[in-house]
Amino acid sequence: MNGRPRLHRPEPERTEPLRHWSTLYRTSESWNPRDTGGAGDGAADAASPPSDAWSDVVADGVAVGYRVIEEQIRQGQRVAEQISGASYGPAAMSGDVREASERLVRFSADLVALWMDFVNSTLANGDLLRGLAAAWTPPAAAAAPSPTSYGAATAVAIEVQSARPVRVSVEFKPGVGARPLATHALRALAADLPPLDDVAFVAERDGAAPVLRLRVPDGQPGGVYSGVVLDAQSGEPLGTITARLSA
Amino acid sequence: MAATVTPELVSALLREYGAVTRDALAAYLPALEPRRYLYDLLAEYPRRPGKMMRPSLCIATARAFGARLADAVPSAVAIELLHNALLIHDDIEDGSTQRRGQPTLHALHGVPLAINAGDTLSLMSLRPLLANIDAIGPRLAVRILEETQRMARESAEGQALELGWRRDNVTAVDDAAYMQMVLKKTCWFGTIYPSRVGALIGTHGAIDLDGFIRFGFFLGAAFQIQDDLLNLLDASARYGKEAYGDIWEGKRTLMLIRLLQLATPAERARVAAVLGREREARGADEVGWMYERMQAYDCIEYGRRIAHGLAGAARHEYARLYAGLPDSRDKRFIEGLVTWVFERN
Repeated sequence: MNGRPRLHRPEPERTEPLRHWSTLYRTSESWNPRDTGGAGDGAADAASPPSDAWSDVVADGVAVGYRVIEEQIRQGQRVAEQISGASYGPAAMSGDVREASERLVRFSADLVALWMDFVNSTLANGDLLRGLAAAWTPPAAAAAPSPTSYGAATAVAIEVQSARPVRVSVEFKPGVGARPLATHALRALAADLPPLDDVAFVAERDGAAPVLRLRVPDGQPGGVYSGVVLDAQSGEPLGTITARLSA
Repeated sequence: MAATVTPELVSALLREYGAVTRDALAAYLPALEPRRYLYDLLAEYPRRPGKMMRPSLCIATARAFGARLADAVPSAVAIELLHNALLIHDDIEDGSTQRRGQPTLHALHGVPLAINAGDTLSLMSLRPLLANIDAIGPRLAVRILEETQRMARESAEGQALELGWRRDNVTAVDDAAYMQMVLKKTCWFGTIYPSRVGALIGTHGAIDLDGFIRFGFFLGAAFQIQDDLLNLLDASARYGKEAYGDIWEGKRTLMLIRLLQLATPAERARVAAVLGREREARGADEVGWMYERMQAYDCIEYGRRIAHGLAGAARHEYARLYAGLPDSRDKRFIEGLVTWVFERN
């Protein structure tokens, strides 16, 4: 022992890596000046906050952003639940085609209302009105259905004759376009129950949506009956029909 | 951030998906009479070269989740039509004189005809959304209409906030209020809506969309702040808008808010007085003085740092959303947008 004070390594400023979103990006000047030489001019240093302060600025800014966005998401969920009574996620996709059609009508009505003032002002201008009507004709890529085909196959009307309550839904696979439709009898899971065989797709007039007609005999046992929607020409399955008949 | 270089892929896909969208959009812009008063005006902004970020983000998101290109194109066209419609109205509301390097539509044709053209483009944007019924089925089409309705409401609220602040010369705006305004005015239509619509198409609706609000907000907010920085720093010839246009318009940018926070009481009063006057009554010397004060208080560096921080959060949220998907150029494009925000001009 020679009496000289023992040399100590200075305590490190941190002992583990920074694993935080605020450090995902780092500019060259944000390194500790001790590591990089850090020779800045006095005037600039006086005008600019120290690098630690800039780091705080970034962290605070991103924290504010997260507070704002989380509040926005909470508000959106509350509004969605008030409007639709449904959850705000993939479950909102459940439901049948008829429900989707009703929602389509509702939203179309809302959107049309937004432009009522515009339409009113347009009505006074004959040239403009004729031009707009022409503009609304579908582009060449969206060809109209042939005269003998149904309208869009995924828009289906449903007619039911039944002495008891029955809920009918038609589900199509995504991307099904305008095609002639057909179906066989609807059957229950229990093999001993008679099928609902008075069921068919009918074209009431060219270009109109097909009508699914179902007649339920009075003595039909209650239960869930289902069948397949088929392409009337190719036989390819396009979706399902489900009828829930009260007992 | 400065060391990160946006992959070439971003520019390539912006060109590719932009061209696809423009081609499909052309079918919705007929050459009818009265061309001089309406249809030529409708085609004016779509014809000018834009970034095409919104439709490209929609298509890329849909494809990253496995959709066909054709499934996403109608929605991309609707987005671009509505974007151009809103630009016409925004330019009138903001009193802007330049758009994409050329005079604004109302500067060329007058305010009444420009408003009419904007209304018509809005109306036409419904058409491809209705075409979705055949393209991707009625249920998804309705979901996208619901998304459109929400986006329209959020965007209108954001625009109202900003215009209201200007009308009432509100100067007590903090960063949180600014971010809320940007979330609604810019992010919902610019990044959140295209991402959510693309994800709906790509997953047939089988995904929780909240994560896309987070990702879209951070990406869109970084984009907006960078846009405002470019407005301050770039000459009009390169950027496509008039120099210091945001200061002339009294726009509440993050840099202006920072200046109001740091300025002395006398300076704050002077800034408020300038902002309280009509645009035409503001002098070039006053606009120049405000810019000089922003530099003196490091407001521009402040905006730059915040934008980079928000971009970091965007990349964080991107990783959470897309980590489980297989690698694809669409996925890399979406990630690349985060750095592209800072390298575009």
